[in-house]
Amino acid sequence: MPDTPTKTYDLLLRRRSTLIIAAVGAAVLGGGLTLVLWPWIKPLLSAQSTFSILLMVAGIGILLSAFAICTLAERKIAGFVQDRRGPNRVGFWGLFQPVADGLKFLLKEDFIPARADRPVFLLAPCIALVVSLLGFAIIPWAGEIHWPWMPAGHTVSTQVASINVGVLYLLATGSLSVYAVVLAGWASNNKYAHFGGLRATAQMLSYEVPLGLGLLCVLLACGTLRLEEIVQQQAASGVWNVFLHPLAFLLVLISTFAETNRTPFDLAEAEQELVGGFHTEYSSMKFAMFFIGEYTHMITASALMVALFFGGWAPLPFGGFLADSTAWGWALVKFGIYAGKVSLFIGFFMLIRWTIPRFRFDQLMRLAWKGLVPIGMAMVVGSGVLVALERERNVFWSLVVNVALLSAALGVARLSKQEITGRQANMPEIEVGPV
Amino acid sequence: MNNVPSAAPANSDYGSIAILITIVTALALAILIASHLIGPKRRRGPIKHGTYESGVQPIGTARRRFNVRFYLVAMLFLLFDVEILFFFPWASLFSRIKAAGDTGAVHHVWATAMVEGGFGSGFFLVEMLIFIGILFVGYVYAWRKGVFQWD
Amino acid sequence: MSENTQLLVFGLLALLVLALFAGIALLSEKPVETFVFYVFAGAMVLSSAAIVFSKNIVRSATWLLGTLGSAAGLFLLLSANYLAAIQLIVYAGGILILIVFGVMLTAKNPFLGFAARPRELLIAGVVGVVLFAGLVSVMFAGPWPQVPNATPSSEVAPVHAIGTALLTTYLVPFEIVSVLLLAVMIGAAYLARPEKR
Repeated sequence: MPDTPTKTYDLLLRRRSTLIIAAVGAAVLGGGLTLVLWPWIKPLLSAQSTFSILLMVAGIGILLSAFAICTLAERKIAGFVQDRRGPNRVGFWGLFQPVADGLKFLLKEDFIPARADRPVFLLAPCIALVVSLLGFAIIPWAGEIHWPWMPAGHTVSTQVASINVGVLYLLATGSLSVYAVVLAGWASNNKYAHFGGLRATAQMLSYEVPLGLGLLCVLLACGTLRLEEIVQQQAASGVWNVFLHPLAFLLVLISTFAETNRTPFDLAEAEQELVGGFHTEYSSMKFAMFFIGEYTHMITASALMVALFFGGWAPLPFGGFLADSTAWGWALVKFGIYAGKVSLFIGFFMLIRWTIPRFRFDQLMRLAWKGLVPIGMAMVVGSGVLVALERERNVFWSLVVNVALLSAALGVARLSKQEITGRQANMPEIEVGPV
Repeated sequence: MNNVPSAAPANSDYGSIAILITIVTALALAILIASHLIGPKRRRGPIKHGTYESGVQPIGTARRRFNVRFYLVAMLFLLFDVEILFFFPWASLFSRIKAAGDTGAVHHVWATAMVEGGFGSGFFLVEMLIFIGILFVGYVYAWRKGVFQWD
Repeated sequence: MSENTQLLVFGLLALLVLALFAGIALLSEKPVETFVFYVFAGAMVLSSAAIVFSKNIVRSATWLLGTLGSAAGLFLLLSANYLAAIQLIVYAGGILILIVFGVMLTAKNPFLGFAARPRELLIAGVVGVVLFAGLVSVMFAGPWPQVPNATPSSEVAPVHAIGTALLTTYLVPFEIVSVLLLAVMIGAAYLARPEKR
């Protein structure tokens, strides 16, 4: 007999109507509260400082719910790729699966192995969570907003913090996230965890270099480190940076895969070799914190790429629509566009995870140091020359430089007769017997 | 930007980052404590609390010496990171140098003179090309010496 | 004392110190700035002390993260945003990992902890006291020069100011840095040479 629901809550959870009633109820409750408290909310929305705090709280909430949706989406996409259904038992279409997962994590025993270093063992997941939740602060979600009750000419920015080292702030939080992995690996006092931590450190450090070089190419042409200015430039001119710097985008994309420890770069947790890698000894909420960290890092990194290369909230790669609109309705539309682009990126990340096999460690290192780093250095020089010749806003000349560099790189790789990710020359051929 | 308890008037945006750090740290601690309080407490034991190595008795400690390659990666990273961080001021400045009137970016007397004298962006490009060039020589040398060889 | 009691005592002490800082700050001219300065400075001193007193090298390194982070915070207070970012990226992100890796590589068994012998404690104590006395005497030696508006205005981004300075006034040091980095690269090549078997 296939899985008959027996308990009342089980029956309730499986009805589509429960879901709809819950959603409508939540909406009515939220709307009603907002309506009642509106006179108090109004001044909070029009001052930048309080608006930033509201954004911050909303941002954390949105990121955590996005994390919950991501865990479900990841398994649904895995199911789709592997031709099965994915989670479909808890709630209608498996929609309550993240809730069930969260409860399960919370109800598990808080367990620390006897030989672990207790304080560091607890510190590592905290670093993972804290550092990954800091990144979204400088993402310009929807440009500037002018509320109808504000005096003319005044706007608030939909950015938690606008700082003039913008992109470097993201690099700094990224470089701190290495510690979560290395400390988790060390504190566990487990050989799998230790190797996982070491591998992850080497990988994240190596790929931070091409990431920085790729960002540099964009910043060179934009002349600012502020994300909101970079997005505004793209929205106003209508030319997304991805058309000007496709190679730099590729560098940043590959490095982001490696920085977030996603397949094909998930050597840190290669479950077939290292059981679980750096989080082998972690369970209950401490394990969940690493996962929240990983997914949040992925979301923030996608948002960064959207801002740098895909025009942020700009709806179309031509024209210059919405560039100067500050009405709050348009801001909502802009946020929707931004969130849509980010979710496309996340979907891409997930599809890649179930499509491409994992790299071997030497392939990984060669790809970074012999492939991406020289291309990145050449890209910086190329962008510099373009800027010096005042051609950095010209799609044709930018593409010429990009194509020339790519073909030169491929040519060198071809001449050296050693593939970047292939079999290494000094390894013996494996004898394959008759099939 | 008036209500935030900011570190300095010019830095009020760092005030909101400070608040964010506080909130997020509190969140992390709350999760840890909640998990500790809610989760069941069961018996301890040498087997249960032992290190998990796929059911095999762990031999020795995991904290041992490892390959020098990892140290090398950290060193190379540091090297290239410093190089990139030297590029950033140049990169954020470079496209603004072209117009000599853009004094917001170039406020040094000599730099302005250079720009007005027609050296402009070409001069700054050459400076950076020399910097990258010297490093590139080192990169090629290291490649030939097998620094980037992993096996 | 059990671990939980220790934690409780430590938390209460930290709260007391914070309250003390808040008191000092309220009496000064710029309360918020002073308070933030004392928080960062206090965190820096505490984590530095913890580095010295830790008996385990990785725990020391973890505490060093606190010291470097507080230093970045102090840079931020001085409006040196770019320097703060560099402090986090290079020191916290790179050099600290390098230190941890280096110690893991060189010592025979670095994780057993390192208990200092009495003689070493004595020498270290003498050196520390002399250094501290020197610093204090310098501190009270005379009036400190006060530079009005030493922090840059928010109009010119520090990154641009640093860039201009590097590419004009300090051009030669800037190019020499690349030679230094070249030397590091050659050192790396020496490290990576194939082992003789």
